Amino acid sequence: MTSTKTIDFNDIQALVTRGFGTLPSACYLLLSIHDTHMALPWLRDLAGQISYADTHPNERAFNLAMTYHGLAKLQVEQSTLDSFSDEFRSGMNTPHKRHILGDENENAPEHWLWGGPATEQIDLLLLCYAKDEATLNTFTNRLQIGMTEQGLKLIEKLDSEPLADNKEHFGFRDGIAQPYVAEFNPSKPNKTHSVALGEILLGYPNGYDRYTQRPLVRADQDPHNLLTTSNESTDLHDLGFNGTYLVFRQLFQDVPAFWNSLNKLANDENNSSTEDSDTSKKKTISLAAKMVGRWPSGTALVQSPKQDDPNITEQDNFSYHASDSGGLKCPLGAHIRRTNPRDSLEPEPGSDKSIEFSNRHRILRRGRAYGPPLDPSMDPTQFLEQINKEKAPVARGLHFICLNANIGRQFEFVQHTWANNPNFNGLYQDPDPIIGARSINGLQRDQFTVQKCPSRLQFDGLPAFVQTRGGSYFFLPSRRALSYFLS
Amino acid sequence: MTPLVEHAKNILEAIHPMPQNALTIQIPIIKSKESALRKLLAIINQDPPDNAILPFSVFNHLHFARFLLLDGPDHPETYDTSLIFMANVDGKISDFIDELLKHVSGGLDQILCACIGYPSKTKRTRSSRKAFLSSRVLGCQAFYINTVGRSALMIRQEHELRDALQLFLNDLDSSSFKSTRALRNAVIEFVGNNPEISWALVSRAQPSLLWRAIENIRFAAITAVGILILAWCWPLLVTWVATLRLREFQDQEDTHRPKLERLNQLRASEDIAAHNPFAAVGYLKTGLLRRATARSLLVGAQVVLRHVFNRGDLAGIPLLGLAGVDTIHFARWTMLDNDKRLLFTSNYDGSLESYMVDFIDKVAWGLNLIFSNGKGYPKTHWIVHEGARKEQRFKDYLGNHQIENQVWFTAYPQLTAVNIANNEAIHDGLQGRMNERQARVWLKRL
Repeated sequence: MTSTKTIDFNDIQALVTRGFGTLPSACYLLLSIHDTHMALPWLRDLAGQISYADTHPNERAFNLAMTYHGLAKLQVEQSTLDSFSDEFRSGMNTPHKRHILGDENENAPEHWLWGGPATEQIDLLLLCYAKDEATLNTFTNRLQIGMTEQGLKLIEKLDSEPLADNKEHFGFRDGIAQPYVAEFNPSKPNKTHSVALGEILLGYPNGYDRYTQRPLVRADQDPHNLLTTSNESTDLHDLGFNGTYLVFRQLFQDVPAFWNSLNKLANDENNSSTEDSDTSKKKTISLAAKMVGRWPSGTALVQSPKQDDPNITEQDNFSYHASDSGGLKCPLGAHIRRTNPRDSLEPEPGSDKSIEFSNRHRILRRGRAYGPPLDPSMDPTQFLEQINKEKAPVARGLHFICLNANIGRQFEFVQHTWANNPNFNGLYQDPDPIIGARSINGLQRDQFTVQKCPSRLQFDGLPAFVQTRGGSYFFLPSRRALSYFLS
Repeated sequence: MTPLVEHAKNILEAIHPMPQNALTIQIPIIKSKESALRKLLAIINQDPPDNAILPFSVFNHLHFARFLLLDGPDHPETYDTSLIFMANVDGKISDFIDELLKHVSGGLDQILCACIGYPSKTKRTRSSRKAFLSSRVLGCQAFYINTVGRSALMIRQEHELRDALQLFLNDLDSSSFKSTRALRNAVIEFVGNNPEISWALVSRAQPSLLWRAIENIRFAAITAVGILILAWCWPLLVTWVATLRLREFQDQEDTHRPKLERLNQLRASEDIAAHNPFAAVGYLKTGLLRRATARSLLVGAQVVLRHVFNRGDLAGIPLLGLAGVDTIHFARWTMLDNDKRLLFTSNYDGSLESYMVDFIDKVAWGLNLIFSNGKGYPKTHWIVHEGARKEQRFKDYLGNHQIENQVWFTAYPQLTAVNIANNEAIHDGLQGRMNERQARVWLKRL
């Protein structure tokens, strides 16, 4: 494994190593390039403002990613473009991708706000972060000035909304179990089961101790030696090295529908009228926790199966097999048990092998919430009080962003084989209750099963609470790759 | 195969039939009729169970079926594309051909009139059709059955049983039972009172004692022969392996990536059910040594698949710490063109990505053993190491060799192999006595 000393953090965009938690204000600009020659000087200037992983920005930060189409606009040679990954080149909209990602029917790209066939082709993604709204606005306004005169066009500006206690809109703490990459955390080197650096960044050994498919150029295509030589052949220069793929999806969250449905599902027994509303709320929140696999505070059900325990600080420190192989604490189909199964799947559940298997399907999440919360407290009990206060649907959700070196084996695998798959882990008709598609292969799949003794509880007719509203695959280049693109 | 050997095989098969069998028919097609045939197959593939031409759902003993169009071996100047029909059936191959002719002979005529040698309109009788089909049957060299003896009919019935029990449990207040056994008894009573599913109280048809005894004797005899070969011929085998090791240094691995358009076209027909069909064809490495290696390994594989990995866990050897794969329903290896090419087909659960990942993560050694005889396969090290473990090379290799299924039918599209095994255990658990703990374990399956 490459040692930390040899990693050039000054070559890696900062988003790879940090989520900019100290910069709560963020927005994303989606641009198209109309005139490459006019745009290049502006882009070079822009590239100079990028934050790299060796810095700790506390005022503002800026990162830049591009689509396949964007690289083509920058006149990258076709042979080089062809050396990018299949998923990046195909994009998110092919018939097959729609199918496996669940982007059909109301989620179809035709209805998307951006990234679909009905909206303009996206070339660039500008990720902007700042310590407060004012700083962010100053920065983004400056960026936008003269953009059109420079051959660029702003297609969409996506704002974000910092929510209390690091929660997402349904009211659950988010962003807890990030893949642990030893090279990024030299201060806590003792943690076992590090995800291989090559799973997150191109140009390093991946979970199979191999190099993931990445763009390489012939030495003569890089006459100024802007790039490093590839570790496999001195005739090739590594355009992928220290870069990675960025998956962006705008996911609308229907918060009132979520809590309304759960309220009905949890309390539809005959005695509900005699119960006081506190008991009924507790039941609703408890069912929601079963679906998520965590309590609103973020404490995992495996850690505290009966009620929320906000005092547990190590919310990522648990496994499934030894304490809950049957799903009695955390249901087998719960969101976090599907998207990060830890040690619960074959081969040999409970073993290091099982964890290594899961570790080859991890993604580094960097998303942010958007839209106003249903209640600023972000407390589900408050949500249940105000469940009917909104007369019209409010645009809110998650700007889901994740980084991975192999989109097919990481992001798409998690979404398809784990989240959308109704037969996941021995189940029959259960998609991921939070993010899973409710119709797969033309069949309605909307059950949620809570394993119980002596006999399970089953909920039918789970509506979709999350809708895809936009999305695209991007490449997040290294400093060197960016200067190659812009040269 | 010489007629004598074939005859002996037929007699053996009659005395000791395998419960499930693999049918492969390969027929060269007439060039001018290829495009019409493609269109026809596309129409069938719009609704494989219930299309008007060849409605597969009429066959109770059929698990999976597919049509492939296979380009001829490497001489582009001569046209010899052939049609391949494959089916996984319960019972004898010849019985299934009879069924085909009984139910869909009109549809078969429409398809097969594009093939060389098919009886002309006036000469089409049941026996002339049968003679034609039977003479084009290809044997396969190795055949994997997820669970030997589990019939398509039983799979579908056990699925209906589970569905009925789900509805029953949904309407039940399980907390009102004072023990798990009492709850189980209520389930059994429900099954008994329900004429649609009361068959489930009778235990499953199992292969007869005699059948199993012959299987065991067969395995013992083969093992004994194997040991004798090892004892007498080990110097030869060591030399063989050493020679292969030396050859590995010269082996050329395929380094080109499959075309994106090609991959996207292949993907377009995938992921329409809980499982997928896979088909890939490739050339064997040239030379007698490789041909003999491939043939002998397939013979060995066939023995192991039939006698060892016959209960749902392919290539799992807990003693060696090797995890198996429980997501494959059927798989088969068929030599084509006088051992020039090998066709691999399977029906597996989940996405191709997860299938490849299973190969790479769990059974790379087994794949390497057989497929390292294929031209361009990722370089192996001592035959079992590396190879498929080279993730990208391996995925590219598959992408370069995968072929499209023109038609694919599954008899139980919503079920994975794990589901099917669970349904079987639900059925089995309706019989016999259980203590509280056993009843709890059984009820977890529901």
